[in-house]
Amino acid sequence: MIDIQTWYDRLVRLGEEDYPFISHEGVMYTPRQIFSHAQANDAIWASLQPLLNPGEITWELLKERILKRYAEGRLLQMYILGRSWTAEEIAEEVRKDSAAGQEFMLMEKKFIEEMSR
Amino acid sequence: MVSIPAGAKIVTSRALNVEHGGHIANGSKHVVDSAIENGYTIFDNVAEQAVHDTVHQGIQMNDPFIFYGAGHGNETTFTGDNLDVIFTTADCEILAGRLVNLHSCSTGSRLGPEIIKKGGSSFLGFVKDWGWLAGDDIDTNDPNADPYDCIYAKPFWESANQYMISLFTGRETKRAYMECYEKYNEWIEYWKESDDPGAAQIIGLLAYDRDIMVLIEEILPSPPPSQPLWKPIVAMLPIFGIGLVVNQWDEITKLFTQ
Repeated sequence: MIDIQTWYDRLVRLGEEDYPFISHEGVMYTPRQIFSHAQANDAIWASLQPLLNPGEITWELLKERILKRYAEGRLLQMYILGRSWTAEEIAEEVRKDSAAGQEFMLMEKKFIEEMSR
Repeated sequence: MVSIPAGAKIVTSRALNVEHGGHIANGSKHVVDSAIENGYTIFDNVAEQAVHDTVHQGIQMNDPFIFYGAGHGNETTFTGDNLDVIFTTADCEILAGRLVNLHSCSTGSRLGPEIIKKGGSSFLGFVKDWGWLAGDDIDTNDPNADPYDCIYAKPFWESANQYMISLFTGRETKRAYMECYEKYNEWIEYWKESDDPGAAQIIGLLAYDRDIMVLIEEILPSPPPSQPLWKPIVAMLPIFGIGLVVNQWDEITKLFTQ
């Protein structure tokens, strides 16, 4: 079980507190929202808590995270799949749901899994 | 498990004149430096020397214990300078009996297993495309560009290089694989504490690269395809004179599958 305060502090430091982290019953939750429910110890927290190890990660959520990262100018140039990809190209592939876009989403999934450990 | 004997010979192929060649040649140079520091004899084919004929001749003449390659690749092929094809699944017998590390995209999916099938003692590579990041101001094609000089690129190259560096310090292959895996984890933990805007992307790609790394030392034979018990029984019935006709096979099998 992760220590929710440590988990949240780390995501704040990384500037990730407002990126969708898990989705539950069709609703995406950011770390800020999850932490707020944890502090209130409410019914939503009770349903979200088991999902954090790691949570349900949908393609939709991953896409939203990458596009948000792009909009905020936080995507770095990447060298993979035989070429270099600018931030704009990464975002475009993700929007198109292409094979490359799906690989970029899998990398984003790895980040969430790492932060759920 | 394989360990490198003291004084073992190493032949390399390190591309320079390819896309991102500066980072490929200079990132892999750290492996060469480590080999020399640890007293190994290295026949280093870099840039124009990293082509099929030179590399194959180098292996034939020097009979190295290790082959180390850094260059572009795919599921079936490892390439050198100007994308000259060095090894393919149809042309890798020369690696029999050798320990191989290909720092190259996707070669772990088909070429690596084929090298082991043809007698390679050990293979470390990646089953999908290995990737790295760099700042927008970095020119990865610059022949002098060293990824260790870029805070974003260094974690990827240092992690991948750790396998060979661990081998050179006396580790056997499985231990070296684990140390390489741990190097990725060390960098992931480092970036978890960062407030750099690129940290999340770095963590995700480091974990991706770590998890596509494979060490192959044995190819297990495929199990025979499972066959329903009734097939051999039915096939034997005519032998026992029960009078079933082979061309009625479909009707017979239907009876047993209904």
